[in-house]
Amino acid sequence: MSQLEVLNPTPTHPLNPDYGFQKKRPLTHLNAKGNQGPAYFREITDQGHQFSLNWIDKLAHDARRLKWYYEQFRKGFFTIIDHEGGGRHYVGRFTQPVEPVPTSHNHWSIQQVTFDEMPGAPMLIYPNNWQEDAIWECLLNDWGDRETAAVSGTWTLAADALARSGYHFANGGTVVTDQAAYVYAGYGFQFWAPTGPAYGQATILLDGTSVGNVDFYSANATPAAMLLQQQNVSLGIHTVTLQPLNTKNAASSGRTILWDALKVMR
Amino acid sequence: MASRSGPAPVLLLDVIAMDGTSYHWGSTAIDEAPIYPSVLPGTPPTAWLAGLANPPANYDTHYFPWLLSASGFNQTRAMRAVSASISVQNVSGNTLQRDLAGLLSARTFEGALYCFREFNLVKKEAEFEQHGRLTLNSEGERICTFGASLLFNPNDYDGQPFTVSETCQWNFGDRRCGSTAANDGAFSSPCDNTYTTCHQLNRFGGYLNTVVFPTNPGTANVSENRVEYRRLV
Repeated sequence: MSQLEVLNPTPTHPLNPDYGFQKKRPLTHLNAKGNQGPAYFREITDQGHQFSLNWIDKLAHDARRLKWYYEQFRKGFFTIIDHEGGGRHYVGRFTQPVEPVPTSHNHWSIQQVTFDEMPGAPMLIYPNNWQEDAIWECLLNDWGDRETAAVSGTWTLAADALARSGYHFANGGTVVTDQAAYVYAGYGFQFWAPTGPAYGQATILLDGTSVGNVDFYSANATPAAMLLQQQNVSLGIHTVTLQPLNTKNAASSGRTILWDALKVMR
Repeated sequence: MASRSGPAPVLLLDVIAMDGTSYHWGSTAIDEAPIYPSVLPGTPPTAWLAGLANPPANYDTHYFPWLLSASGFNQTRAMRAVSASISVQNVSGNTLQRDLAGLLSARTFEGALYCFREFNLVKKEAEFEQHGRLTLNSEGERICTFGASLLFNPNDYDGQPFTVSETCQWNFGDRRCGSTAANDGAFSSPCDNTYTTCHQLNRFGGYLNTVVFPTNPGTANVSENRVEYRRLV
């Protein structure tokens, strides 16, 4: 019993909730603002989506099945597919009892059932609509404050017209224990950075585990592009770390590595 | 304040932590010296400043917009010790480390000197100014609250810890007494805690008086003025 149990595997499945249902996303951040100052922001929790679902005029065995989903997964999770919303999967559970109400002979209605997404749960298909569902997490926020942390080593901030953030955070790339890191709340991520003829290679870690290497070399200075994508990541608060490898492409004239921006799946 | 006349004043807080580093926080970002001169310039926290994307050109004339509120400042004619409350945001910073939480763990703000001002934007003058010392009341996820005490606070003073007495209050031979004479079983060496038997007069721990009682008063010592007591009974 897990994400493998799908409530509504097809668009015509009888357990599909009535469309469209309310889709909420509880606040996961803090704000603080002085009288005339900027609104500071900090992500603090990893709560997921919250749906308010209705099933009107269902047959008795469908109502019983919905009730079974509540009972069975009170302490676990199952998959629900938003067929109207592009077929995106969500993994979670009903957090309020399913209480069918009779409407006519053999017909029942179930209303206001809350489905809460569960952080940390594996998924059959992880969110993958990078165009519509992902957001940019840039090196600097809109107030100009740097959000990427220099954990160790020397990292230099500099304006860069080719960077997605407008700035890059550069490291000499020769000390393999140097690190820059960024914490986000969401699912998978894409690592974006400009490339050029004098850049080296680095490894990227997700929550402390390497998920691949990136090569910042290109024959000509090139605007930011996606260098690495890690899609199959459960909802949660994750730390992405960039660490130099002290290696470079044979054609590169340097080993400098860059932090520019992440694209994070929400 | 704004409801009575003109714009709301800008709140400015200058702090010197116990290690000498200074901080300038306001209810808005200000970088307009000498209109807003900081009154407690000190040593900038260089390590923290180095991590900023856009460090101010002049740290001592820049106010970071971290100050959320300040209330409870009272001025009375009495010597009442009042403590105000100053709230500073604890949200900004990079995604790994909050600015204020990092500063609080790296420095000592307990007892830090502060100067709080309400600055009138129209008049370009401070309408209210108070100096004192900070105490850390609470450090929350969003807000850190300091208590702000006045510089003059008699509650902070220690009273006289010893009894006022003509006899010395030190134990014979301890560090404060300083006598190195043997404290033998015959009690020949120890003092009687009196001035006349003290071995270390320069450390005598009693209060001396200058009254002398002559043992055999002569005529000169006796008042000859006649006093008539008038009593009711």
